[in-house]
Amino acid sequence: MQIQVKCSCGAENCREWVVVELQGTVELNPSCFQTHLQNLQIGQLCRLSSSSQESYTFTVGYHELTGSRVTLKKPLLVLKKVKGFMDVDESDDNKGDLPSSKVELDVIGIIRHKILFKTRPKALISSKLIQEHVAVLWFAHVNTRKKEVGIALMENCVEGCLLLLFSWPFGFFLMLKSVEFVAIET
Amino acid sequence: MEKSLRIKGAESVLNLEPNSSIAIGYHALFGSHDDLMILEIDEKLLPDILHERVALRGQPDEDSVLCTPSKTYAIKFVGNSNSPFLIPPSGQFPLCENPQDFDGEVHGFAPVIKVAPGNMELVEVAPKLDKLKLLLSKNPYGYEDVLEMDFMEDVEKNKARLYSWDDLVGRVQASDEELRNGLWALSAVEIDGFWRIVDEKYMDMILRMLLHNSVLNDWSLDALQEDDVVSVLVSDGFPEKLASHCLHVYGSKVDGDVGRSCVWRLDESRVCVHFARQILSTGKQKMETFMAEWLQRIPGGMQISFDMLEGEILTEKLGVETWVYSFSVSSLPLTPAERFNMLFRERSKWEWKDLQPYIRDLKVPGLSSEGLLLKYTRRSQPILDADPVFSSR
Repeated sequence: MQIQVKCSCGAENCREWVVVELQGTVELNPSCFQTHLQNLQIGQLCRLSSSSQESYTFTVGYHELTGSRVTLKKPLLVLKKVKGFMDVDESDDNKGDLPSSKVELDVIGIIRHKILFKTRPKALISSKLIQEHVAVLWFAHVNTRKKEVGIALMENCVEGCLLLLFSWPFGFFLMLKSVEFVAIET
Repeated sequence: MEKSLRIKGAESVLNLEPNSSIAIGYHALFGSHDDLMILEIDEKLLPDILHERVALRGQPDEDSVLCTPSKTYAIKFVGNSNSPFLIPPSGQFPLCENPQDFDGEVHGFAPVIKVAPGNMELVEVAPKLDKLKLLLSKNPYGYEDVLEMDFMEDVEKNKARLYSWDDLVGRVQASDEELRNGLWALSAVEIDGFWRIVDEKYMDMILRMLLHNSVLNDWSLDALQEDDVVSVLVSDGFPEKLASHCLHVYGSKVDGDVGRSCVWRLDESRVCVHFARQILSTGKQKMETFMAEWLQRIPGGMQISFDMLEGEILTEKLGVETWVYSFSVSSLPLTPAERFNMLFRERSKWEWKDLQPYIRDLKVPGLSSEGLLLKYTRRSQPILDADPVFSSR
């Protein structure tokens, strides 16, 4: 049997898809009540300003990946299997072939670029970036004798807190100004 | 309204401005989408694919191949341990009606439709033409077919064993061009819409009749008028199609002919080889007997030469006598492993001059003829400066 490769998008204007590629896999947090991946946000893709090389960050949860845009050496085609119906006279003496249904492959897109993140994720504890839709306030409690860092997380910070200054008995300062955030560690 | 404007696609990711960001998330229709496949292709194949000149060919029990108009490619699946998130351009999949509410500062949302577990790759391969030979040789066209013309029932009965071009395309894993070359190499001819190999005995009858006619009518074998040759052969009882096929098989068109009729020249080598094969079809013969009979059978004006029989016959020494027997390269498989297997079954050791005619037609993409020899044979050289001998690996 023969499976024809069609291109319904028309030869010259095949639409371009893009791939965002990460090392490893992204898992749904088991403690999350969400059971469907659909419509869930994975992360925030940000193109950096650095001029020549196109570099990007991808923030997934409290982790940040750094990567770059790669032009593929060979393009990738996105093919979709389409089931059609065979004309009556075509199925006549093709006893050995698959009956009734005729499969076609349709080229529905072409991929020429991917944004590749091949580094290990970097934890965002001392980063400036903060998740925009969940205002998160981090309290760093450092036990200097045990060298342990305890992190408390408080969600839904009051909108009005533009400037907070905490004076810690051990001499730590934590400043939070709007969504910008500075942690000072020893 | 505002919300759907913020749902974007691949183009927003590709055209992301410096210092700006876009949210990446799962599409409302995110899933395994097994009907979506990723195929890596060479840039040079792109025009063929986009202009719909490409098809997958193969029976359900075969690994399918991809055929362009001229080449055949095996399809290999390559897995990827990374997570490639596929993002379609906006509008290609129906938008989610109720996208999760993202904060207003997000500039857009590019939805992922599928995580591709890997992609398919193409590797150029030789066409699987052995199957073509197998299919067509089951029912060669012969003298019975001419007699059966009157009995339509018998023709109907045989129909299942005959193959039209479309049947062959569906069964043989080869590109159109390779299939046409394969049919030509088998000297196949399309009769009443079906491709047939013509029985060698029947071809022999037509050729001998043609040579006979040329003597009677005083035709030159270097300038045969197609119209004359065919009409006389038809009056002798041969179908027109087969009469002109005979010219195609044993002759070549002469350029610069005038008038409407084509002019053909019979090919000395092809005609002589045909008669040699006929003589040896009954079994092996002593060299002298064979040469004498061969010389006697060929048409006047033609010269025989033993070199013509390269790849057609083998010689062996039995005592003081040399015998010749038929061993035709055209009867051997086209896949290298099977070809060498057959060759070493015939003879355990081959000298290069004997072996070469039996492997020169083998073409494996990405493998030179030296590569083939390295892969399938063991080369030994008993004495320095002696001819190398090839044996099985």
